[in-house]
Amino acid sequence: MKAHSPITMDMEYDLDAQELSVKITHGVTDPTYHYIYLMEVWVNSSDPYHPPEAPDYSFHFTEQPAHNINNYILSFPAGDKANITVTAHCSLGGSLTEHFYIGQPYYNPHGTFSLAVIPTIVSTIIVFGLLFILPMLGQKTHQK
Amino acid sequence: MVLKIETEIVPFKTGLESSMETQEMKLEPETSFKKIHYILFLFVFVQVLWYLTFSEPLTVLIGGEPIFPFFLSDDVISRTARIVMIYHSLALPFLIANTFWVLEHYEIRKKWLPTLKVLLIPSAFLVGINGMIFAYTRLRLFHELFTFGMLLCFIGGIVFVIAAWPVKGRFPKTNPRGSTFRGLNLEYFNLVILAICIMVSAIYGALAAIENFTNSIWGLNREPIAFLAEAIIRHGITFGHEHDIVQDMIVGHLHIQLAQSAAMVMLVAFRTSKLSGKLYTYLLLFTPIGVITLSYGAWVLNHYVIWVGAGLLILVTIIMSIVGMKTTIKEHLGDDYRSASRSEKLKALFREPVKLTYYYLLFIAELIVFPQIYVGLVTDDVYRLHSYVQLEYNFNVAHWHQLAVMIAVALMIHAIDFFRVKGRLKKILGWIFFIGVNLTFPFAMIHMVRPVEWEGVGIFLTITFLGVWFLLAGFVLGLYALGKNLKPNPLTSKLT
Repeated sequence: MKAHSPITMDMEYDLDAQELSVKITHGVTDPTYHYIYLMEVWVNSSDPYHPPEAPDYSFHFTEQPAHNINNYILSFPAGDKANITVTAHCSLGGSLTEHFYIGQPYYNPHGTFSLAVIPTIVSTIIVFGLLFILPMLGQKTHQK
Repeated sequence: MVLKIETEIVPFKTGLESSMETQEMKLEPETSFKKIHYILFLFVFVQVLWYLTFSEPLTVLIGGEPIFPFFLSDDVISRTARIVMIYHSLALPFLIANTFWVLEHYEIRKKWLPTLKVLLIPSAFLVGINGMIFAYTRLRLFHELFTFGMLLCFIGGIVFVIAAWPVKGRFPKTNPRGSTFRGLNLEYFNLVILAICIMVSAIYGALAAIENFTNSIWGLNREPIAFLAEAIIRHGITFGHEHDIVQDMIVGHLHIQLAQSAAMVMLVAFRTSKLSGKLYTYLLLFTPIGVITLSYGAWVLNHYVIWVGAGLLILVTIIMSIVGMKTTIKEHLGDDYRSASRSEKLKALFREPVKLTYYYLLFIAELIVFPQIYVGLVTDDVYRLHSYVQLEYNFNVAHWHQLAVMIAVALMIHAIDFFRVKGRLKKILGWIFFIGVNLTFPFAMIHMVRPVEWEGVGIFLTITFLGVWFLLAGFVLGLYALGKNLKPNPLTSKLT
């Protein structure tokens, strides 16, 4: 199987301008030959993961500006709370579907250094455990 | 008639002198891998020259396009898959070159050396050459040969562990002052721990690749396309998804392999800096804790654990590089060291530009890492924002590029010293690398951590590229200098 699907998509919707900014990672060698040629958008689809309906909006492209990450600005009205699904299609085959919730605050769980306490203690125990066991090994046949 | 007289010299014997004993003196050369180092340097350098044809430091000078675009066809193989193959074809010879530098400084059980050579040297070329060919042709045979080379390297890792396994009182026979704990040599303990961690990390990458392309381990039915760790790193978090195990293992694999290579360079520098005494014991005790914690942090993808492990290794490397600089000054000043003033000591250090650059690079490498750790701390709040997509991607790529180049430069500078390059050539090389190091790494770091408002500012990158050209010039001249000093030095042989 040979596909060139885009790898990731990052989205943000501007409520004032009613524009969806989509940043797609799609590594290509020649962006005039190999590019994202079609982006389909569903707004509040009945199944945001696999939309059964025809897309609400379609955007066509004839090349992609950069070799790797490109920013696409798609204009369409969506309201201040909506479930957006976007599928990006590659000109050489393969696609990527991603969804985005307008109105859901960005949240990313934070870690702390306390997460490292137990692994560091365990590493120390492993090292000192070995340093106490290993000197005992291979000593029976060793003539003093 | 001619009288023929034969004469014979008979030693005068009084019975008081003991008869002189004669013994055969034969020269046994110490194990040295000069030719292997040189061949691997040359091979990797040729690879780098080829990759330079589509790499930014060169393409920015010629309009941004690769020199041989017809080799780069996405119809043959995807750009991402090509890059993955290129990374591996370069990384394996690099790792093996690094291993031979470790072997140069740490004598392993001699009976295993031929086995290691038979495994590792063909592995470097099998992976390097076939990986490159597959990257441009997608001909399956070359991928199989590439994989076979990887297997040889892995087996080499197992042999290395056996050959370097320390046994109290038996192996190694000689221990530098401060290198033992309860009679066990800590240096070799570190080597074994590091080798095991490297092999576990290699298994990580291998399992993920097998699952991704053959669906034969966890049966995840993934789309069998190549992806880069830096491309999927946001995917798990931004939209409430979770990475699958393949993505996690690839990100972990990339996180750790270079850090472990850096740890190998650190172990080499332990010997060159001539650390000894209690300080050395403490550093040797901290190192395996750092290596295991760092590796575990990467395997479970927890940055906080990685930082604690890396922090320990950073601390150890900073101390080691300071000791290395002090040793350099002592060796340069000799008996005058005690009476020398601080400025005289500093001047003495600058009169040894190769050694200065070596330890200086190891020192600033650690300092440069700190702002990058800060980036990790603010990733959730800043770098995961939509406006930072490109910056975060570039940071991720640059972070390991920088680490890889630092290791390569450290090895080359050390080689110049080890091959006993002398005179003006040595000084010129030292200063070329000193300038290159100062232009490349600090400015690359500034470019990497620049705020999003400065995203379009290119001056730091331009200075970085200038530094890269200095380093490349250093490598060309360095290879010439090493070639001149390739023959074994009689001084390195010992009488038995």
